[in-house]
Amino acid sequence: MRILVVEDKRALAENLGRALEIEGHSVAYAADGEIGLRLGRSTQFDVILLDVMLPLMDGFTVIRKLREEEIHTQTIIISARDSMRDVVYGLDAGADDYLTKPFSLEVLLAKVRAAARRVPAQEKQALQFEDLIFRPAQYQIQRGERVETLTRTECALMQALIRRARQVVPHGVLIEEGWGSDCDVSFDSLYVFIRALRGKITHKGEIELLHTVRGAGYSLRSTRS
Amino acid sequence: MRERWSISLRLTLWFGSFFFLGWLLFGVTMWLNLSTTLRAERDQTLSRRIDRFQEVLGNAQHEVQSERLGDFLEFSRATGNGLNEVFRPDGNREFSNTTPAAKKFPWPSLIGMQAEKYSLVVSGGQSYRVLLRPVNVGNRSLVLACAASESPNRLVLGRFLVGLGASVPVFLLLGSAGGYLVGRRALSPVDEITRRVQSISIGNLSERLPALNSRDELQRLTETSNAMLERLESSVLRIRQFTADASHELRAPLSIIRTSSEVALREPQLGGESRKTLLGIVGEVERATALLNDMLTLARADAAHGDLLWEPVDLAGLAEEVCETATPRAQQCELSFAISLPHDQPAMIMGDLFALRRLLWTLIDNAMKYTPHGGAVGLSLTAEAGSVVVEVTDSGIGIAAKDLPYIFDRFYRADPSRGDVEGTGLGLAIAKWIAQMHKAELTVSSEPGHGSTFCLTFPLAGK
Repeated sequence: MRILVVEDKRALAENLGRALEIEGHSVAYAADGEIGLRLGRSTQFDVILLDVMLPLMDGFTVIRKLREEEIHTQTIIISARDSMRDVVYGLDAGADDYLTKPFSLEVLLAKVRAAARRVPAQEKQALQFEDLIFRPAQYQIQRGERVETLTRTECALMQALIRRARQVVPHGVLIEEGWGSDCDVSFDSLYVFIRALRGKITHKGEIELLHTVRGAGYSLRSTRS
Repeated sequence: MRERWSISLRLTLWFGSFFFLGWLLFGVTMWLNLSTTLRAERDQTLSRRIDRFQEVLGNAQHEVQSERLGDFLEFSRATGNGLNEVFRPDGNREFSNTTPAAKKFPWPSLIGMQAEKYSLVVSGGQSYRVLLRPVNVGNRSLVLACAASESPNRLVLGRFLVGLGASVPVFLLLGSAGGYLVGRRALSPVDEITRRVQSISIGNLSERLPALNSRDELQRLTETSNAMLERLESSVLRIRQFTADASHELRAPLSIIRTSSEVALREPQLGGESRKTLLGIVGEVERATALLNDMLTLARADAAHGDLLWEPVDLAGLAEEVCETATPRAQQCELSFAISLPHDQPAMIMGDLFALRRLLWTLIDNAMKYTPHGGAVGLSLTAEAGSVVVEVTDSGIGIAAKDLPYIFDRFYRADPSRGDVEGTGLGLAIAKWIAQMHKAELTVSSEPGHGSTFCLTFPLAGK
């Protein structure tokens, strides 16, 4: 796989690159945000590892600009900013996944594998549940006139949920669909993504469709009962 | 509140006392003044009477003794209730036939009398003022005597005293009320200042006391306090900024150490000793990261609201989830793990899901850490009227009474023998903070050797 590492700390970038190369990936480096954006635009990568605190342009801006240009390359934010606000902000900007520094190499490699697995959806046709239309090919959901773009992680979760609409989708299944079985994703992490997805599915004043089922998982349904 | 009341009370007492003392001084002065005036007036009346008496006797100097007696009697009966008498210098009466009142009256002795003299005489339980005046009528030396009762004056003075006394409560009341009102008026901004100061803590240091424009001590006080808050706020901001910077700066090298070690561990030709060393390094980095995270959480906690996202949270569901996560560990440690939750009934509170999960996890983790193999750990959640109560119990080593007040302190470890237990020493401090942020009460009770119970009481959402 082709992987872009956008990280200004040379020692970290080099070590990450070495580990990824040992895994059999090919690695390109960018030491600041502008080079990162340029490379992300010009070259086809499978995964981008993106630091947040970068010279010239911060990582959040890089990912937002890429998404604005319809570049949906799988992007994992690796950040020293660990507060929930920063994580949510990164996901809203369009990142597919996040890791806070210092991270376990094992987890990072698993997340890279999971990201690579989240290839563009096979299904081309749109799926519908109530007034919610999901178009996997366009990474979009539509509710009424409102159209929202999803990240690939969100697409994977959305697909798992809408295929089993009105049923309870257990945590484990969602984690499996989003990241694969070898990736150790906690309930907390899953919740952050579900929360971001819910924010896109339901806006203020609309009927809540994505419900939490206590101790079990999540479910797409029109009412609680 | 107590100080404020005591100043008010003291002002009231002082004001009341001064008012009362002033009134007392005024009363005594008035009384003395009145009694002097009355006495002077009565003495003058007596003197005038004796003047006329002298005239009457003088006019009659050429008349015969009996006529003089007649004049005298006539005068005496008409004036001063008959308390008039004429004496010879030797003390005998000039006229044997006088009024009955004068006859009975115990006139003072004339012996050694040279000049006009006032004196007080008590007769029949009443006191009288007596004036004796030596005169010469024709060729005879006589002493004229007049007496007047003191009782009308006494009556006036008595009434004055009664009036004065009767006004004591009124004046005391007026004085105290005045003192109280003055005190309240002067101290009314103090209440406001106290309320404001009580509400200011490290979380809202940007608040200031309301500006006063009274040009007095209170204005100086508020201005000084506000200046102090200003300095505190800027210091806290600097420390906060430093904490954030330091944590970022520490994350970068930790991240490099960890990733480098882990990459090195993947080298196939790595020797056994090096592998052990590198694994040790990774372990230490993990611990340092946990500590850094906990410290950062608390640093953020000090910065007011920390980093919480508020939303409705089903505490029962959350507890179930956390227990599910903890069950494998309980089995691993051979602990019995009893979970008691209300069935299919959500316990909704407003809160931050991650923080609450961390709080519950910390309590369960703590219970399991300090309970030896074969022991029991339990979690129960009950929704009561207006509150949700979560209890985490264990049959572990317990906490000594002397340590109980400190276990929520940062880095507090009850007992050096517990030092081998893993942890950053910040878990319970963070738990306490999370509870506080949710307006929940976190309490602990323990019996050393038998176990501990942590009790969390949340107010229900919307209550």
